[in-house]
Amino acid sequence: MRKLGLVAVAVALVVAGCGGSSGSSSSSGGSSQAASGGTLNVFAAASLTNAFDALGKTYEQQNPGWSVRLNYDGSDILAAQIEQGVPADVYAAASTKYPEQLQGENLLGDTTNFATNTLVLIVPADNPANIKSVNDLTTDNAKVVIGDESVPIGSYTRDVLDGLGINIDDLNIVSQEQKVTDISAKVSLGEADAGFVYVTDAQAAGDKVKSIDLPAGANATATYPIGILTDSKNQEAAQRWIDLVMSSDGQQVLQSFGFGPAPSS
Amino acid sequence: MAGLRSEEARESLWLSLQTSLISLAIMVVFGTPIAHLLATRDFRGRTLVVTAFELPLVLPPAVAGLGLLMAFGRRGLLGEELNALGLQIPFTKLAVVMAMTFVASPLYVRQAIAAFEAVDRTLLDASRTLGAGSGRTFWRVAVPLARTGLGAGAALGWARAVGEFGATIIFAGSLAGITRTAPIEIYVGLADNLDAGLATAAVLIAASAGVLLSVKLLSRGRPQRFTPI
Repeated sequence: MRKLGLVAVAVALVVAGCGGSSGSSSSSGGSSQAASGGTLNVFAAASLTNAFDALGKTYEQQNPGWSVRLNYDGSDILAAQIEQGVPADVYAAASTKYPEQLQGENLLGDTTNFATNTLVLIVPADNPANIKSVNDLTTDNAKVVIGDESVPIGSYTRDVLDGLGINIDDLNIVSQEQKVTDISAKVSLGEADAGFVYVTDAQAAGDKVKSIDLPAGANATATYPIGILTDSKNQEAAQRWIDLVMSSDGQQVLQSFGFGPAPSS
Repeated sequence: MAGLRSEEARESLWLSLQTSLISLAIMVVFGTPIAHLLATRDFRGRTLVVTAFELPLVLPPAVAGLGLLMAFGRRGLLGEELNALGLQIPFTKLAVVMAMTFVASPLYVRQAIAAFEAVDRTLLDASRTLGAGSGRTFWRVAVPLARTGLGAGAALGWARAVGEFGATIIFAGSLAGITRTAPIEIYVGLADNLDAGLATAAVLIAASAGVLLSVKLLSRGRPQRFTPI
């Protein structure tokens, strides 16, 4: 039945004349040839945006002729894009779930855990709902934005709430976002009263938000694995990206954006 | 199809149907008289007014969403006034309807203006000379004569409303049953619920094709002519 649906959608798209995105396919052709230069496609969890932007500049300085194209989104969306054949060289996710899923489909090679992250509750700078601790969320009907279950921040948030003994149904959840940066955006804009994000996102949002620490025992640790796609034609350049991320310089950059060190394993 | 049995797919399609029909009703109720006015009156600044009405058509949906947030969000221009009325729009079904109406209504209004412009002025004048007021002329002469074009515009506007994504996700967010419309459900389910996404997509393709086809048949099968009522 699923096949039938696939065929129906594919046929309809081709008939409509928009089958196949020309932009992505042509670019991968260009990058595959030149060994001395090209484009490295890095697919990274949205929470890595600022850190990987900085590392991308370093990489391009260290590897003349190479340019890094960074595609940030929810780890699940990126995994789906990879499964559907969008050309990527490196995949960095915010949990082990989707890398393992891709490895099961032989799409992703071995992964290395390169960073950790923890969660924090953020409120707009003027804190309209007057939230002082995570326990205040259930009172006064504060508008809370969390991640969707399918995206790592969403499942970590559910773990945290479970650990705190807070029933998710008791919260006034107004939106379940598809990537963590959309959660911090809605809180920064003041549309939501509170949101669960990574400490790195809270740091990136600066003084537009106030962070409220979660009880240490109940916090979740997000582990970030990185690996090279099996189909990547830029295996060496991809390995150099991972080497950069794991180097002491790379780790320092990550930590300057609030990430925890790579877990020793 | 198997995916359609999933709760998420059905819930999102039902929500899309509800909100898009409300949006269509708003478009028709307010858009029709506005379009008639713009089609029959020539006044200074008419081009500017028409441009303002058509602007959302060419605006990136993300800009539309941001604009709605800046106007109607809690911190928006009208945020305080709305707050005083106890009205907070973002994250509600109303926000979905507003996003849909904002981006889709130009399609209807454009088509409606063209339809009213095509109506023979002498028939309107005759109606007025025979003693019908402007309201009566509008309802009994102009609207029936323009109905094919109005129908086509409504179909296109409705289809665009159903397809709304960018402005909705920014202005209304994404919550199952409240603001997670069919296009957003497809995006959300991309990784872990592809079956539901494909089923939803198939329904939307069929609906869109049906709308386009009916617009074509409507405008070919029934040429505009004066039918006495």
